[in-house]
Amino acid sequence: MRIILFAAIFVMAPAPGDPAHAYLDPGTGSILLQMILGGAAGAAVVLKLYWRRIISFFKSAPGKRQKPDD
Amino acid sequence: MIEADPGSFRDVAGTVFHVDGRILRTVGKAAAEDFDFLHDCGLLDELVAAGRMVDAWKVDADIRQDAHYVLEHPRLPFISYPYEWCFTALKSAALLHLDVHLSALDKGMTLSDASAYNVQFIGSRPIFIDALSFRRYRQGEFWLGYRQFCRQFLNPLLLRSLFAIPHNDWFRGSLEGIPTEELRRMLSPRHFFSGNILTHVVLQAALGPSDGGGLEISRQDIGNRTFPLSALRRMLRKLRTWISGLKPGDRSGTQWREYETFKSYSDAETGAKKAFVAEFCEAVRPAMLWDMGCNTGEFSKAALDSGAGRAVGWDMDQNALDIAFTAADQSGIAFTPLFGNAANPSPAQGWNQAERMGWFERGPAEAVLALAFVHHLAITHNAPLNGIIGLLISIAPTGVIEFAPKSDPQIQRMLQLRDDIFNDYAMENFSEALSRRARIIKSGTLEPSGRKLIWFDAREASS
Repeated sequence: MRIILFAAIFVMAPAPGDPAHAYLDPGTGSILLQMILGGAAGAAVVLKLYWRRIISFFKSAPGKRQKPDD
Repeated sequence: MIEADPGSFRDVAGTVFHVDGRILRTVGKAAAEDFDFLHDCGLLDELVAAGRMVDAWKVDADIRQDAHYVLEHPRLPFISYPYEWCFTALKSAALLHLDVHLSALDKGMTLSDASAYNVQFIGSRPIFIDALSFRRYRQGEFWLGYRQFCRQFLNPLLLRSLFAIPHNDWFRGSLEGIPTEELRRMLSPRHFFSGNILTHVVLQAALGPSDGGGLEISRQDIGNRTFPLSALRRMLRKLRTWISGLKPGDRSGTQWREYETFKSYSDAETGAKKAFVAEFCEAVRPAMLWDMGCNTGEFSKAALDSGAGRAVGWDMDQNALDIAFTAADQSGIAFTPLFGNAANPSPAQGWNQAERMGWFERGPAEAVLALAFVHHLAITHNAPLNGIIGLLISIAPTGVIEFAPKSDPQIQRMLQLRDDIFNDYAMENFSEALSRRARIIKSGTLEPSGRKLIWFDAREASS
């Protein structure tokens, strides 16, 4: 059950952010995917980001959590 | 007259201007360094010589004070948009884009975006048009245009390949292309067996924005993480291999062969029609001809063989367009078959409703062919005959129109399940309406169908 929950969070989580240097927004999914395709180190960073997200999900009480405004 | 191109505003690197029919582009200081590199490393010459990119040269022109310098490009014969391309055309544009990117990496450059609008067609040959998309490659940088490449090339191709749905209508309504998240929602578990689909659609969509909560990532999170050059090259090559193998999901082998048989099948009427078109083109020698309802392009080919300079064809039959495009590509004729519906032509749209041109802004052509076209508009779309004549004359002042009598088997099929409310639909009415607005240069009747061919000229009527 916990695994399914983790998987669901993984798939549901949107991720704003813009590491672009150009006029184009590369999109978060596009950058994270390239980190994974780029090798084990990048993939580990992506896992860490999601782990952080999961931890913060359990740390914050449901009532306290706020919807991100972006 | 100096006029900024209404579609050229996104990239601060430079702006395209139309100056007395010339295409000029201002280049800002930072972009100038990249363009100089593109020129000096030999990539520009290499791509131009291979016919993969439009040429660009520096000129003396005072357009904007903040411009470091000004480039001139050759004028393209016709501008079309990805929502007007058939599957085969979009695929060849996608492959060109990947090839240009791989060539750039070999010379230490990369592409700053992956817009399908940066590709145009000369005949059926795709050509890259944005000299300012090239930037010097920074070691380990991410492919910033990847999401855009998926939206504007990969996803539209997958839509037709996986679901047999042509991309055109969706793309026309969504000018930035088909979002990966939306395509992902259409997938079923059977698609998950493809590693490519899992990576570029499922995983990319999962990692990107969706309707749920939020994952905060910042530049710090990415830190000094890099995307190795070898991984970027591998990604581009793998996409190239995958895309070059994609086929429309609704093209069965038999159907494709039937079309080809149909194409090569030349009965007496087809021969007579081609001869009429040839005679017209030999006399008029139009530099640009529009072929309304071009089908597989055989009459455009007849026109090009007899004096027409270039032809742009419009049709709604995706399979016919794919065949027309493939045939034009193989024979190298100056024919661009495009997807379009005369009853609902591409509008002017995008930013300021001017970013992408409508049909008629891209005309007028010098001549128009409307073979087996009028009855589709008149019967299927209930369009008035006078309106159809007005449409054709606004496309080009002279041309050849075919008119099928109501007894024609094709019209009888159209009327099989509906009332015949088309009392005005008759050869006499059509001829009379046409001769009010144009001179009839020549007409002839095809036997045994009784269809009529009319060569009209509206210029002589008004002079």
